[in-house]
Amino acid sequence: VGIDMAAHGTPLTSPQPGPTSAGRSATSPVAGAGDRAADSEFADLYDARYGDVLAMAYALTADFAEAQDIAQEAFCRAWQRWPSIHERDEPIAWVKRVAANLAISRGRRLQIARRLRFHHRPAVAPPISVDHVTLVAELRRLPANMTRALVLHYIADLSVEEIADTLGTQVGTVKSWLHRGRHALAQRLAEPATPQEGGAP
Amino acid sequence: VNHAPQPRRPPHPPNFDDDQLTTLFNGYRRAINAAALRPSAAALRGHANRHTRIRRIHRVTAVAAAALALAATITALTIHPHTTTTIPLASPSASPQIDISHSRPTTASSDPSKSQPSQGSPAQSRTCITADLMITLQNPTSSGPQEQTTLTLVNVSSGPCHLSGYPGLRLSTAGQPAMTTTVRRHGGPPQTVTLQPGGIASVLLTWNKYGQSGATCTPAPANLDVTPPGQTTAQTIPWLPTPAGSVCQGAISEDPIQTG
Repeated sequence: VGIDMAAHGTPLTSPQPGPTSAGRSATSPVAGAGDRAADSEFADLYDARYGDVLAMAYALTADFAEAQDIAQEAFCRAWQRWPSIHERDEPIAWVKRVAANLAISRGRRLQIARRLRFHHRPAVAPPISVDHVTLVAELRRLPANMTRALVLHYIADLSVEEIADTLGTQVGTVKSWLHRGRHALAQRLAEPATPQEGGAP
Repeated sequence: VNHAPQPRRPPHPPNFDDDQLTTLFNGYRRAINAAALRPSAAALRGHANRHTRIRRIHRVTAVAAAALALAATITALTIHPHTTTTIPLASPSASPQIDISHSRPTTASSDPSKSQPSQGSPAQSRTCITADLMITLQNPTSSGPQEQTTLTLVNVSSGPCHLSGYPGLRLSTAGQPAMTTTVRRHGGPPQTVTLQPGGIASVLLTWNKYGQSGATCTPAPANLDVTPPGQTTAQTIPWLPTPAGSVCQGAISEDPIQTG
């Protein structure tokens, strides 16, 4: 375990505004901690939707360990702002968009989860099949915007409007990315023996 | 660069349409959901709360530390002009580019020069630790009483790491009776396999599923504990269902870790 910490441990950094920092200073995180109802509402959401958020983060990053960090970070941040988030129509949409931003942005900071994972590392490996590893690998090979649009559409269930908002673009552009991405991905998956592109002499 | 006109692909590949894409995504989502082990909600909440408290303390101590460091620097410059004071700064963690585009197991032979799990030169990487690896079992194949499957180890960490030798194996039942595992190791001399992020290594496992009587053996193993070479922590993965998963006398043989 000591090696784990040395290899991946990130020192706690001083708080800096990140891409998903909207509302960071809004609420005291411990505010809802004593409240039983808030505890169980949060636990219900977390237990029911953690897998979806992880699936989205893994498809966006192609790195399972990092995807776990991202999913846990997003839920940690949700808990820290739970009093304001649980009043929304769809708290999960907030969590997904935070996780998507963490997965997409270059300067992301996983301040909370990096430490959490080392205390609660899952013992059992996920039985992910070769098909699914291939799907993630092929998504990684598409242009980034197409991958993001596809993942947010197929895995995160976001509407075209929400995707446009998350990716900071127009609805029409998202539709175009989705259309072209769907087509490109289907072609890649239909041709299992395609040699690696881009590096051929 | 090849300037020759490429043959146009049909707009919809005959064997992979949009419905299948939806099915694949849904299957992927279900698989990750089924496998999504996580800290308990209470642990996560506790951690988030602790982190907030730490952050508050850091904010206060950072100001105090900056003031002290400044004072120390001034003192040092005043008293010992050649002394420098280094103020440790927390730096953001590196986010290396991750490319698992070559990790596709089904096309491992398509371009050997680019296959990512490469042999040799472990100098630039470290030994894979248990947590670096996602370990899964492939579907078994049988010939007569003999059953065979591949244990797949995917590097899910963000940097390269290497493996050499044989993983430790231990079969266990869900409850009683306990079972003993006898592992026979054979095959050629172990080679060092370097795995890029997303790179895949495999281990061939062979066992007998039928005993003297021609029936499957009991107890049926429920799980397999896999310990990567040189590690002390095991990953527990579900073992195969009977009949393929019947392992007589708990005897299983393994080849060394190889690429792909």
